[in-house]
Amino acid sequence: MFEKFTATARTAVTEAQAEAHDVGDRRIEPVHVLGALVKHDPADGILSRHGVTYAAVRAQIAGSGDGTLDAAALASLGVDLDAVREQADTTFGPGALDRAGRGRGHLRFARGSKAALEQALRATVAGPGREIGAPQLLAGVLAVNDPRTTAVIAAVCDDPAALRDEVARAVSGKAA
Amino acid sequence: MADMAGTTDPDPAVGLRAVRALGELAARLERLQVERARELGWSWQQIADALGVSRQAAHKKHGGLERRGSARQGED
Repeated sequence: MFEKFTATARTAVTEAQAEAHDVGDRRIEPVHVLGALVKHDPADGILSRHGVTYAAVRAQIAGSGDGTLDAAALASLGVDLDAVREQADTTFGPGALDRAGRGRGHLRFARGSKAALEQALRATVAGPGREIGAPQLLAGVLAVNDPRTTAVIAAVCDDPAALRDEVARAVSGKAA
Repeated sequence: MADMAGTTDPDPAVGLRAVRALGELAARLERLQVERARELGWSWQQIADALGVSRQAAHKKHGGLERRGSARQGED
């Protein structure tokens, strides 16, 4: 199945691991695939047209994962994360706290990501082309309705429904 | 972003979130401290005693720190 991916889509699937690593998540979730996809803004710029830019998605991913240090929750316990961070930087070097939270080694695909790849394949089979490209992968990610992905898109995109429509059109081969 | 009104919130979701954040912070600090202790020449037994765990437990949890950087492909 993998050989049917276009180079762009394959890159996104590969780079999704780095996206997960960077924010300290322990699984490659659909939202990381989205992050890797938007990084290169393929799919004819559909994503950026709807406000879904790499910087915006990255900012959201970094604040929503299991590898996140939740400053507000810590503050509710009287822990000042900024103060801890400052001390950690002094003792262990700059960025130590983030480094310590980063994942290492090979990450597995979460169930939602596997489902997204299946949906991408399905979208390809249903469409006119034979290759799983960036639009199909994007359609797959959107199709699984992963809560984190939905939240990220809702936070950065002014009209998620329009984004979905445009992706669906791109996948079906009809011009926007 | 959540505000800080949840300080005394009886909602378990708020409390659990705080516990989780504290656990994550503690895990990171533990990792940094163990790394540093090893660099300073502490034995696994000394680190284990300080953490209140067995030597085996400390080594199992953190021993990988020293093997990392070498080949670690396809471990799971």
